[in-house]
Amino acid sequence: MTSSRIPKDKDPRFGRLIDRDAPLAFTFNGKKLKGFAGDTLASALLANGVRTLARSVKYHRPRGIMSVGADDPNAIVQTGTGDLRTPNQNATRIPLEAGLAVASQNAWPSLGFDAGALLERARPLMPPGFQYKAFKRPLKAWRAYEKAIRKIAGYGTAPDKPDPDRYEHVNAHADVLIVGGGIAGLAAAEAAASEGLKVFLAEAAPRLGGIADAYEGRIDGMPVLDWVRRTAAKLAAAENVHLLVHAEVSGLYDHGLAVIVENVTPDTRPEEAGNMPRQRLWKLRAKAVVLATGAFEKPLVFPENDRPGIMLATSARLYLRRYGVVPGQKIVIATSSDEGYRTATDLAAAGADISRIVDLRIAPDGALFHMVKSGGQSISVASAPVSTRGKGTRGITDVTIANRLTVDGPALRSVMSCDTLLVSGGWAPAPMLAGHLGARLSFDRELGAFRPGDVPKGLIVAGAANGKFDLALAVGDGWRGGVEAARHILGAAAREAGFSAAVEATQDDPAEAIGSLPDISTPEERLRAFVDVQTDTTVGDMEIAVREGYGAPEHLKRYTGLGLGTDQGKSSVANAAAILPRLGGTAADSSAHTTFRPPWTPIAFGAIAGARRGPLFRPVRTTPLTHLFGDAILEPLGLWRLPAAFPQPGETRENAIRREVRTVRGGIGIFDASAGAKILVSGTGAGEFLDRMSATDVGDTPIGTSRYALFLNEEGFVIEDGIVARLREDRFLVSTGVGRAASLSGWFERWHQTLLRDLDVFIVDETERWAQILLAGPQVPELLSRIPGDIDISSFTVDSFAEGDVNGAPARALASRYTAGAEVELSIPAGNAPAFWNFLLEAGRDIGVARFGMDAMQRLRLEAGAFDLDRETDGTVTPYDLGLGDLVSSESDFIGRSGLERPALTRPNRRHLVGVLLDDKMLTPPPGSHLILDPEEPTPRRVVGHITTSGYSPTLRRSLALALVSAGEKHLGDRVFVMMTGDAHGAEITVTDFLGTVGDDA
Amino acid sequence: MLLITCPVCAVTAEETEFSCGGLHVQPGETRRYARGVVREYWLCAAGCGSWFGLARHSVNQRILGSWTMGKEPPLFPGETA
Ligand SMILES: [Zn+2]
Repeated sequence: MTSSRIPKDKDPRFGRLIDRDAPLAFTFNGKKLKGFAGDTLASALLANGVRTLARSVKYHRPRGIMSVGADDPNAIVQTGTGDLRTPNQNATRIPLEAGLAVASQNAWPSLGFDAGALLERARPLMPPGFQYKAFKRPLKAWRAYEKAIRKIAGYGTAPDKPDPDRYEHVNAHADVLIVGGGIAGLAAAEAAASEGLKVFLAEAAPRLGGIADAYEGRIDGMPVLDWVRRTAAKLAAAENVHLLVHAEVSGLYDHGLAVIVENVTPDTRPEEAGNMPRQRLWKLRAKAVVLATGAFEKPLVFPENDRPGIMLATSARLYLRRYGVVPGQKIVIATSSDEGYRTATDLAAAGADISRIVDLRIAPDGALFHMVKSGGQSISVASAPVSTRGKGTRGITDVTIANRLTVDGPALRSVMSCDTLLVSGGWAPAPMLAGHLGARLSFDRELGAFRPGDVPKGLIVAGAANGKFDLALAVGDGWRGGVEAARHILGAAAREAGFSAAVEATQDDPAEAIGSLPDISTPEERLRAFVDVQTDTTVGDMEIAVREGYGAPEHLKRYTGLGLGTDQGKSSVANAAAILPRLGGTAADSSAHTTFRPPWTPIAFGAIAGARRGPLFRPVRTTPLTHLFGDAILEPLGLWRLPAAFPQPGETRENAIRREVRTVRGGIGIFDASAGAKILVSGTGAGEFLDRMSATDVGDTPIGTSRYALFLNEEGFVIEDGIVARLREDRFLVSTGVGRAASLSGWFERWHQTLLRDLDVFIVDETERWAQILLAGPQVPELLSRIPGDIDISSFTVDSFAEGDVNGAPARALASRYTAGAEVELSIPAGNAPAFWNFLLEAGRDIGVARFGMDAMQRLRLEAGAFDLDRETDGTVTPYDLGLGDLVSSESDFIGRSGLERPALTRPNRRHLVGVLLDDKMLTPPPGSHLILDPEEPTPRRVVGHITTSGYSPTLRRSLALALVSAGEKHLGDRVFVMMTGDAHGAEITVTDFLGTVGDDA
Repeated sequence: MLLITCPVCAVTAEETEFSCGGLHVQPGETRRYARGVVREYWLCAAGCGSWFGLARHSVNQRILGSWTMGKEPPLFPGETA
């Protein structure tokens, strides 16, 4: 037999959440199945007798549902197909929907016949840490192994199309955030709300109440569930309370920030039907946070404890009470807490045969024990399961029980046949979210689990998460949590009313922290006693890790994979901490757990991205001319989209670049330079300010002229270059190259506001106000003569600057030097730019004026050997490295001066910018190619530098390259070899001024 | 994610609305990031555009105070002169 749904009229207590009149069809691995409205995917699968959902990651052992909640390590499935496919979902958290298509993960090629299961025989090949030791050498072999292992052990298949769903982000503020809507969370919310505070409660499940429905008892005279309903209704009606269900707090961050992922469904948000996002990510700021996150039932650790049909005892009870599902018909219960007795009572009422209750405790004496015992139930105390057997995917067939008090021997063991084994090792608090704020949990040996320990101020842990498991304790502690939150916020103004309602409930006999029984098992058996079921980590694996020196929790995690699964070790962290010291590992103390990091449960990338995707991912900056460039290849540069080239019909990109370069060298080209910064610096201190900001002396620039200048950071490295023009005595204009408009004005502003505050300076970033059009080529004077206006450019020399009127609008003209040819940069008001651009193309038609893009500009600069800030400098290059030491002021105290004088920046063997000419003139080495001195040298060879820019020069009819080379200046004329895909190509180190030195001898 | 208040325009906003400019050092002074109170430059980037000083505890992220440029910052609790 296997799990099944009990008949409708068996007992009204069972199946309270399902609607048997609303059947829903769904598929599992293509098989058609039926569930009911109200089911979770897990309960519907159990109702259909599905025992095995997945194969384990490492050993591909068949695995079934173990829990009713987020701690289930096995029920990981993917839902949907194509672009709607979502991997790594926990079946216990998915509400069943009509038509839901569900598939197993980790079951290649199929769940039933699984080639991967052969891996188990090859187990000695995959010991703990195998990833570190087995496949290290040779490297090529590891790549092949990795491919094969990933295919077998993959965590689902990533969708291959964009996510069609919509996701939203919401910002919200509250006084108190309550995490968890169980009875403790509800009591905390009520307490905090009664103080008049703004309360926000987030519950991960689609409904409030937590696992209150697993218990009998009365609060305030009414059954627990009625109290939950009444309190929830009261809170929902309160104006200062916001209740959010089906919403998981996935992370806590500094200053009270919580990230909450709300699953938006028609059930929880009927008002949004028709325009519903899949998920809504809440960014909530709260002054205090109450963690009422409950507890996880601990599994028992013993050999072969991972078979399908082995389930947590309280989970089995909840599957019955909520969904009318029994896990089997012939059941053995192994428990070290009273939960096993509660579950036995329920299952017996549902008609299942409880063959035996195996109580690990030496002398249980609670009310529940005596009640069940007096009912005639067969019970073995001081006993424990020590092994199971099973039939593959059909799961467990029998369990071996041994007496804990007698010496180990075959006669003292008994084998009991069963189809289901329910286990309970007591409860482990789940305050792990506190770890997101850096709190270390403390291990409680009595409990065999972690308690909150020292938590930051403003964070309060309450209820079962605080180790208060019994109903009466949990509800009272929840109320205390709400009061403490109020005290944190209101101080002396808090009323601090006590919890007044009477609670009637059975008090449980304490659970015994057993966890595992490695003392009565053989080493072979311990290798099959699973601690972390999701990552296939066993007691034996932990033993090996400790023996090999990886006994500290953080080491153990990396070495074995313990706690590394998608469940973050929810079901294993407590047992592992109890077992580790027994194996000789680090003692379980307050620091003996690995770091808990967000997200607490897996969340979709879509939820993180929200609306910021596609065109909304980043804003796009355009120039006043971008809209004219529909025929260009546009490429991103920072936030800009700039034309890389303007290919004519039938022309390749490279051919377009060469044509554009030839046009500039032989005729005239125009270039949109609007994406460069224009910064106006004025005031009586402007000259001094710029002398401090720039490594080059610019403060004494004559009016009406300009200077090329370098800007360094405090360390002495080049961060910007630009042209500083002097407009008037107290007014300068700083222009930078294309694409870097934001950074330099911010840099100026920073120093103006901090170290240079006393100077009379005003900084105005005029970048958006002007359009910049660069005219370049020998025909520039001719074209300029055809433009109406009063700027006389005929007298321009290489550093001239003028203001005036061009084509009927105010304009600035600057003799710039980007391309090492005749060149003028015109600034005109942004709004006039499109008309002026078209005017230039029209006015220069007969002399062949053509547009050129970023690629051609870069090629032109390469020909001139001019460095490009985005290529040659990477934040570690000085003016001297670039061969631009002449530009460094010898007098002024500029920013970067002291950095530049550090010994490391003046060493003779620093990398210098040089030219590299390959013997093969047609060969273009890609940027990043290494330079070596001797190809005969055995590997690893000494690398003396790398290529920074390269390309074919149509002017010189050969390929050119710039490179940063160790002590390059001293090696001009020397031989060097450029490495390209393993081959060494001979080359010569040259000066960078190719135009002035390389003959066109082709 | 820090919540920061600008001492110039008094806006309180998310860390992402500001920009951190690194350690606040006086000329000639060398300080390194350390456990404990650190003094930094911050820019009210999406707000008034002012640079200001901020004292922050590098472990628990508590903000101890801020000051405008040109003012001498006080000695904050946990800080040594
Ligand atoms: Zn501000």
